[in-house]
Amino acid sequence: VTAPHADELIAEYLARLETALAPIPSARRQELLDDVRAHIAEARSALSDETDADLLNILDRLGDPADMAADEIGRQEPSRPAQPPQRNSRGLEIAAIVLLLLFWPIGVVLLWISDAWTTRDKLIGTLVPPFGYLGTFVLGPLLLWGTISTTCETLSDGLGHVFSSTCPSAGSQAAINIGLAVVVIFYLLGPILSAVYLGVRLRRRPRRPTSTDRADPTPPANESASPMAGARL
Amino acid sequence: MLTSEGTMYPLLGRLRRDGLVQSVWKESPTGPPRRYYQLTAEGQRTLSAFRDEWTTFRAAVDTILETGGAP
Repeated sequence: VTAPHADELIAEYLARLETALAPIPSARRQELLDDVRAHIAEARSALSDETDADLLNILDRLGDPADMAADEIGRQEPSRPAQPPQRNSRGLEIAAIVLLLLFWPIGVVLLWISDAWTTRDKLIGTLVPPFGYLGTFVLGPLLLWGTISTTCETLSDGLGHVFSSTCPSAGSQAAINIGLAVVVIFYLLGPILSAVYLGVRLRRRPRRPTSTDRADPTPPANESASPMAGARL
Repeated sequence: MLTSEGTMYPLLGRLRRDGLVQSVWKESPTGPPRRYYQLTAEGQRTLSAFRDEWTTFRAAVDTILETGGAP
């Protein structure tokens, strides 16, 4: 059996809540109203026979709509208004990473303009490898050519007696080959690895502190991790 | 302190915005659909970090109350 004034009581409560939540963005307001509606419906479903008094008890336990609104409004993230400029500067970081791969000089300038990375990150982005893919295509071939062009000349008497040889021994030839492989790998994979590294470092700190964050004595992240906040629970 | 059941929803909403929990609506066998909350991976990490911190905090308070309260 439904309480005689159930609909009025609930509608009146929700209306008060909606008024109290007026300063909150409408999507979030609707979400809270849905939560409270579901809460009331759940509590009512547990009663086989409800009276107006039961319903008033349910609403009483929910509390004053003003309390709920104060809780929600008091905890609105202060960084919300600071988001648009942040998104722009995120564009700068992405451009920096992309240009480090495609056109290194501009990429490096953007990398150092951005304040999203530490100096260490920036040095890695700049020097792994130096000149990025420009280096790969300009310095790489030079290096390869330099190594290959050191062809060796051997003077011998044709009977197996070597007079003089500029050929490297088998061991040092292997060392040269390994060195060459390292250089090739460094120049081919380096730019990608350092771009991935910069991207990861960027994701680790999704939100840079803004002036509004600093003004707030209890940033949300710290609050949830501090014992005193836990004591509230 | 939580003064009423209603203030749980702003709190849950904040945990969700911070990516610590996620929620899904599911049909309930007995009544209206329910919203179920589950810790995300980040929520799990935060919880275990908080557990450590809480243990230290509790031990400190215990120490203070026991030594401070004894005559």
